[in-house]
Amino acid sequence: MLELRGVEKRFGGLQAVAGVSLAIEAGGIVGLIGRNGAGKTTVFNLVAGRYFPTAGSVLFDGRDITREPAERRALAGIARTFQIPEPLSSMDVLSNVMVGAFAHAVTRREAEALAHEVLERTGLAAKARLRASELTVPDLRRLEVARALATKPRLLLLDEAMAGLRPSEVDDAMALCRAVREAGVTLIVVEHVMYAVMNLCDRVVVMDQGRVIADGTPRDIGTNRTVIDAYLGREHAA
Amino acid sequence: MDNAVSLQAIPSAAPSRTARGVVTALVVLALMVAAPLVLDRYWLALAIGVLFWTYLSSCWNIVGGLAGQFSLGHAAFFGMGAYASAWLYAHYGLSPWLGAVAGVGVAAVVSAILGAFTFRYKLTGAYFAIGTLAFSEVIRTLAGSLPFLGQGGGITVTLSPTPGWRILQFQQPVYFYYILLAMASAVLLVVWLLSRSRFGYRLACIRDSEAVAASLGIDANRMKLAAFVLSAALAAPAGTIYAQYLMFVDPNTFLGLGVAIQIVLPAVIGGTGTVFGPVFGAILLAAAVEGFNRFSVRPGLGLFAYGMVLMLSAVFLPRGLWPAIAGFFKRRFGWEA
Repeated sequence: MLELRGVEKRFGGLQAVAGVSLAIEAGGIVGLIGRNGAGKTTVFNLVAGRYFPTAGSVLFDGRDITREPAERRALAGIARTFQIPEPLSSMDVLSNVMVGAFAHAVTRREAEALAHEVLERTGLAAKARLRASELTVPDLRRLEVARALATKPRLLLLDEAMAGLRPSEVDDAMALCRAVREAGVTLIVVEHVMYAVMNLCDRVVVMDQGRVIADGTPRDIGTNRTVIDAYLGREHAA
Repeated sequence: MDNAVSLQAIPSAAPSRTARGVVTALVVLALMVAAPLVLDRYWLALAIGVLFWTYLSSCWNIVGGLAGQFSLGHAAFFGMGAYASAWLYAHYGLSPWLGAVAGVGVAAVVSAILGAFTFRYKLTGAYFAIGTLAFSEVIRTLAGSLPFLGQGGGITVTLSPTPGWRILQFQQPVYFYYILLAMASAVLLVVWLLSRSRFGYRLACIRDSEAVAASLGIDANRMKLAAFVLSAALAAPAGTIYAQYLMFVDPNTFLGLGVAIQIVLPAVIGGTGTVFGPVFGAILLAAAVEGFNRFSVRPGLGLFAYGMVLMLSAVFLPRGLWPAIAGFFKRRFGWEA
C-alpha cells in the first residue's frame, strides 16, 4: 500500500533521514520507534506530504506521490495526527471533526452525520458541544484521531498518540487503535510507550540516525541485539 | 447513557435555535423597512452610514474574519467600484447599474491577481496586511495621477435633470437607505450561509491552522483566494452606491488610508469572523462619532472618538462586541445565538 524507496531528507547540514526503504502492506499496525532525533517524525512528514524528500520516492498504491502536496494525499486516503495536538480551538469538538468530514462530504447534513458517527466510535460523543480548548489531554489526542478518521483514510499516521497518557488511558487508546484496524484502516504509529508498541503492533520498524536498523515482529525486535544496544536498553531484553 | 442523551438533544435543539434566529432577523428587517416613516433627515443619514459600513465591513469579514486573512487593501476594491461606474457614466452615459457590474469585474480580476501572488508566496498575518495596504496605496496613487481618472480632482457624477432608478440618482436619500438595507441584508445572509457551509468550515480551519487544513485535504491557497476574490467583488458595488450618493469620486475619499481602516473597524470592534459583528461595530462607531460631534464644541473630535472606541474595545472586548452581547444573553437567559 505504501512504499518508500531510498528516501532521504536533509535540512541544511542535518541528514534527518538517510536512505529509508520500506514497504507497508494494507491491514495492520506498524510501529515506528527510535530515539529522539532518529527521523521518525520526518518520515511521517514525508509520507503525509508536509516535506518533500531530497532524494528517493514515495509510492501510495503503486502511484508515485513524491511531489504531491499534503492536501492531495489527504484526499487520496492518507490521514495524520500531530505530535503536539492541534485542535481548531475556535470551534467546538463536533465542528473540528466536521472539517475532516468535509474532505468528502459536500453538504452540512452529510458532514454532521459522519462526524457524529466518528465521535461515537472514538468515545467523544458526549463532548461534541465542548470547545476544543476545554478538552483534557487524552481527549485532545482522541480528537486528533477523530478528525483524521473523518476524512475516511485508508492509511492513518499517528504521531505519538499516547504521549502524556496514564496507563489506563494508554489501554483505551490501544483499544481505539485496534478498532480502527478492524475497520480496515492501516496504521503507522510513532510511539515511545514501549508497552503499547509491543502489545499493539503487528510489525515494528526501528530507526536510528535516519536509517532503519531493524524491522520485524515485536518479539523479534525485543530480542534484537542491535536494537537493545541502540535504543531499548537492557531491561527490555527478553 | 450519557452519549444517548446528548445525541438526542443536539438535533432537536438546532432547528428551534435557527427558527428563533430567522424570526428575530425578520422582525428587525421589518422594523428597518418601516423606520424611514419616523426618521428625520439627520437620523436617516446616520442609518445610511451604519448600513453602508455594515455592508462593507461584512464583505471584508469574508476574507478578514471567516478566512482570518487581515486585508488592509479593501479600499482599493471599493474604489474600483466607484471609479468604474463614475467613469463609465461620465464618458459614455452608461447606467451606474452596469457600471457596478463592471466594477465587480475589475475588482474580481485584480483581487485574483493580487491574491494569487500573496497567497502563493505565503504572505500571512502582518505581512499580508502590509502587502494589501501597499497595494491599495499604489492604486490610490495611480488614480491620483492618471489623467483619464481626473487625477487628484477625481470624477464628478453630473446631476441629471431626470433623476431615478435607471441612473441611480435620487433627490431623496431614503432611496439609498432602502438600497443599502437590501445590500446589507443580502451580504449578512451570504456570510451566514457561508459560515455554515463546507467552504466556511474550511476557511475556519485555515484561520486556525494551515498545517491541519492541509492534513484534512484542504487546499489553503485556493480557499483563501476564493474568499479574497468574493470579498473584493462584493465590496465594489458599495463604491458605486457611495459615488452616486456623494455625486463624485476622488482618490482620498474612496481610496485613502482612512477608508482602508474604516472598512476593517466595524468587523474588528463587533467581532471578527462573526456574522453580526459588523452590524454592532458599525452602530457603536456611528454612535461614538456622532455623539462626540454633537456634544463637543470642538470640531474633529469624532475621529478622536474613533480612536477611543478602538482602544477601549481592544482592552475590554478582545473578541468583539457581538460575542460579548451574545455571551451575556446566553448566561442571563440561556439564549443561544
